Amino acid sequence: MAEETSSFSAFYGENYRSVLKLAYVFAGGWQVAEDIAQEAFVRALSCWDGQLIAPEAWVRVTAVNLARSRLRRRQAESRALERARPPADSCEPADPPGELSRVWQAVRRLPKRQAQAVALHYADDLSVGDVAAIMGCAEGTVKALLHQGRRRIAAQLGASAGGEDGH
Amino acid sequence: MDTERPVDDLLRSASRELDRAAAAVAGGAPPAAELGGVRRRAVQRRRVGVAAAVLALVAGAAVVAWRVSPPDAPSLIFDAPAGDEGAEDGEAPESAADPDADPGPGDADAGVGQAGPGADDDSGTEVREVIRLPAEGWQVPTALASDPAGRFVVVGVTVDDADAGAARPAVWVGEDGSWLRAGGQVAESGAEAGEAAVHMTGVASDPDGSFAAVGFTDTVAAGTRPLAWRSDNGERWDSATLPDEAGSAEAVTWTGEAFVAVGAAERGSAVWTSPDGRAWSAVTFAGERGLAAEGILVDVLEYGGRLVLIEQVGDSSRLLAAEPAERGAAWQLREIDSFAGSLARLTGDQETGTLYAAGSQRPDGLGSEPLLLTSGDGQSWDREAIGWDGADHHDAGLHDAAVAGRVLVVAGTADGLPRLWARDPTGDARAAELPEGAGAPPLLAPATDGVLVVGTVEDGAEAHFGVWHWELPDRTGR
Repeated sequence: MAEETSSFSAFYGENYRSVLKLAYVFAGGWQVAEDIAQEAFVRALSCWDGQLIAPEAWVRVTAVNLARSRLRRRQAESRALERARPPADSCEPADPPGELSRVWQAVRRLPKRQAQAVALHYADDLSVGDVAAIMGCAEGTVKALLHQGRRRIAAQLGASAGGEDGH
Repeated sequence: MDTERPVDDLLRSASRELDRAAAAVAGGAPPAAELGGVRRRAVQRRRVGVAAAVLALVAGAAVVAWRVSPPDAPSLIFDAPAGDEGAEDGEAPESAADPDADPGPGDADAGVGQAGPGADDDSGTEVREVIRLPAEGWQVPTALASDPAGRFVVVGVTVDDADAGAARPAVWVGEDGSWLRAGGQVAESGAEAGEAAVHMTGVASDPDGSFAAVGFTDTVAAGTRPLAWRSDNGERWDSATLPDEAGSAEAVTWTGEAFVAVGAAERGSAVWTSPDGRAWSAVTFAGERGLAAEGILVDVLEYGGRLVLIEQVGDSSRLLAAEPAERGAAWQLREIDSFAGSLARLTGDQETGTLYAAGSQRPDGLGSEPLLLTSGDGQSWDREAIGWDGADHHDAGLHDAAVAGRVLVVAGTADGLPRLWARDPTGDARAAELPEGAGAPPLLAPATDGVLVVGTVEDGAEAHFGVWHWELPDRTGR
């Protein structure tokens, strides 16, 4: 038991910051990213008695799923609230202003698998091979997703080069 | 915003900034032993937030009969890394390395594709491999054209290093079932070898069998610049010059009198024209609404003496009609309609005059679904449903469309896998998947008794150029 606790603590310490970054990319805010990252590790802890074959991949997938679920729920809530009050400026999380924040906004708007590949490769600094292992696909697929994702990001950033978010 | 830096640089800068911020935030993370208590506090915080919103509404002038339930503990949307795709909310995730995971749909035999359950019967569902051309790196076909003699030319890129985003132009030529790669013959239009990413994005043929291709280059020094090439036979290419120093060219077509290329320049959406694919000039427009300053034109089609254009502006697309004028004179331009979503391709049935526009739409801001629009007159458009296999795919879209005989065929992806769908004039529809290993959004070209499908076959870290034939018998009795 003590050994399991020790191994989980090590796993948590080694992976928390990476999972937090992934959660931020998809959720867009640090407070919600903390909630998501910690929830992902709580769930990993509940399965820690030998059930997880690849816990590093499992906790990342979990965090991404939680973030996307949370974002969908917030968008639905925003739409519902708009029926009773003047519409909010955006249903999206409020990133701090800045050019680089626009990059993560553009990543969030990618199709799911492109967003996952881009986030794992850049935000989590994983190699194409590691991304392929986590996503369960061939390295060529990851390269395709990265290529397509970068093109879409370029198009989105170019469309908002005037300073307005047209999306 | 500096959008001239390659996106790769921007992502790396953003990642470094993200890492610094995360280091500061992570310093306040609870110890592992306290994670259970953290979960209870997080749920309570969300409930308080929603309750506060409800109280604010009730306290306002308008009382809204609206019940808000505290959100449940976050459900886990299973995003299966291997196999079981499309699981519903609430299901626990499986390990990414689950040895018992379902390997997924598709027939393991090369060259045979399986139709979805919506197919009427087994006929017309076989997708047969014609050829695959192994090559180093990872191939991405992006556009194809055929000349009057039936020679096919496919243009695209070869990506050698995903990390740097480097790409070099690639061309494949097919005739009478034989295919070869002609990529080594493409002049790189002045871009220094090894420093630039050069993309070929569109190709068209004139009645003499000459080809014009367009694309763009992306360099750290010069940014993004539109490019053009010309060839007498599709194998040997010479560079041409588009009269814009910044932007990209996305598609090209032959109008009957000239090549017309579309894309974007510093001024926004842009159109260029050339009588021979060598000398290009920019087109100016007159009309009620011009091209969008923040838009990009992604496809163009000749239709009844006019041109139909797809302009993407943010998450919306406009269909535009342009009437060419004499050289140097302004063209007339008017908007036909606008749609939420990203339209990607135009095609038409020359016999009936029916137009089709294909792309994707994001109905809830996350995930995408196919978008297919149909018009009998080029003015009013209706949406047509695509029934790939009845499943609710979270990430799907259409990338190409073609009319083969009387059959409409569309190609796209669903959950990252290439898919095909065809519908004949009687309304009978059928779907097909490419063989296992096929990747990249497929391209379509009408062929004998069906369509040619051009794409890639993934093999480890490489993706090879592949061609398939999908037999589509015409059931209308013609």
